[in-house]
Amino acid sequence: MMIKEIFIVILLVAGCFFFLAGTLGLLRFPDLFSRLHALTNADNLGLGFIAAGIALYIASPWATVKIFFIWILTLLSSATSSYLIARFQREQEKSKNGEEE
Amino acid sequence: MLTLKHFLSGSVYDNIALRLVVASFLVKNVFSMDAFFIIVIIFLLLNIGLGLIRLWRGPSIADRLLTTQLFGTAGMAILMVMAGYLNDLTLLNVVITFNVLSIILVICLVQVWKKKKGEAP
Amino acid sequence: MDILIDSLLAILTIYLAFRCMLAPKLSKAVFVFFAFGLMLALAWIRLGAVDVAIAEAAIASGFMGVLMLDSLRDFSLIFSKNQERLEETASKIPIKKDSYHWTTALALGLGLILFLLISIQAIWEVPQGGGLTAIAEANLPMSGVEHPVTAVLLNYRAYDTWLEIGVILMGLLAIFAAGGLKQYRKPGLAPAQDPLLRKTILIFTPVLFLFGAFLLYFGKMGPGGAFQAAVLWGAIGILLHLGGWTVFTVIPRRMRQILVTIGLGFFMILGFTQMATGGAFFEYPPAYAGFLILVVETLAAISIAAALTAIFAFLTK
Repeated sequence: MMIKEIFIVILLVAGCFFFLAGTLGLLRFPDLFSRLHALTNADNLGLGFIAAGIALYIASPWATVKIFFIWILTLLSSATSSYLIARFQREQEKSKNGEEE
Repeated sequence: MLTLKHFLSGSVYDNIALRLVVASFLVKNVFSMDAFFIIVIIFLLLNIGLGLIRLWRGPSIADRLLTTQLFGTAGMAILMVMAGYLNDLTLLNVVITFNVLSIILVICLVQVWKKKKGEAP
Repeated sequence: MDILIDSLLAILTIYLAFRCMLAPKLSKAVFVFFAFGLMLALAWIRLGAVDVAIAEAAIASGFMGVLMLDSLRDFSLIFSKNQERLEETASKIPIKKDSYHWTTALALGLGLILFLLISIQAIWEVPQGGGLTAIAEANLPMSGVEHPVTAVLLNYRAYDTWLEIGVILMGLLAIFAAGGLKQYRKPGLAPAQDPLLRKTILIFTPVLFLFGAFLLYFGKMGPGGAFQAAVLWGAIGILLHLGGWTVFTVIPRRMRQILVTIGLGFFMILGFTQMATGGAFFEYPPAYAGFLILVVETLAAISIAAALTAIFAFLTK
């Protein structure tokens, strides 16, 4: 019982740390591409840690399957959306530069 | 005999056995899982509050969209911790709803704003 | 300790609402509104209304989000075309600063006082003992479902839900009427060139469909139901439309009309059948109530999803 709780605490604290890292990256980095990199990487890891901790806490097989499914979907959608946003921004900047020239 | 002075000066903690006793006392009587969950939830909420700064400043529309990604992920984390805290498994359905719909905004921006010419108002 | 989360949520919600209204740029207001929607969903969960939280998550971050992004783009096009003219007219309008602030302050103060009075009176008159919860739960075995919220929505107050579906249909008709034939005949979006985008849409389509069906069925015993499922199914249509698949024009015209109206129509036929066989409007026989509610919910979800897709596809041409 004790060991399980210690694991949960460690996992949740690690998740919070990665969330803080992602947010700080979002605030402090100079341009969109580095922000994108910081946020999408760190936040997914943070969410993964928190999901693992909560799955351990709830300890029901159905909920664990659901939480795992949530995490996989988040990885998929976050990776795709970071790529899409980056490409969108590059096209915007290109067309803006093209208009100026 | 141990007094408060020994605890404060730290000399007690040299003894490993005593250290374990103190740690287990703290864990058993001061620490509780619910309080820890509340601290995590508040931390994540403050994270969202920090993200608002980028939303306000963000020079381009893509920056702003990025903050909504942060809100989505942090919101999902908060909901999961709440599911543990309230012991309510139906909250996981709310998480999945956020999850499957978070990408639709990005795809909408990318596809609909393709032919955009002006700056964001 | 709960009060810490609740007060933080309350402060953030109200702060975001003010920020959203007072934002100097439209794009800021739109994105602050998304954050506001998230806070609202969390607040609903703290209030114990998981059904409303799912609806809020689906509608605010899904459907409203895409509609707002689309209108933001339209506004930006209008602004960039007429920017010079707008700035000219704006500089000509004299701004009487002092009187403007006075009237605003006065109106706000009066409104606040009125609001306080009304809320004090409302708190005074709150019924003791949980209102109608006891009655709703006592009649649950007769209603055919196990979740009180679904029982209220589709059995006790089915009339309201029926009219809500009608409201969505009216909205669709109003948007079609306002857009006119010119908008109707425009071609859809060009097919997406990006292979990753196409693949992602195709991966998310079955996931959205399955989860929508799950929510629809789960509405019987827990939070979920027709409206939440409808938004998820509508999201399929929206995603396919964004990827350049001609979702709506593939289906024949008659079929489209049937799809959009079948929820409202079946609901109405059911209600009148009950009346004809001697019951009250929307009084289901207890033996078939569960099955009938499931059918009604499925058809309603299909037609709401079709209406949402049609609205979005019509607006983003």
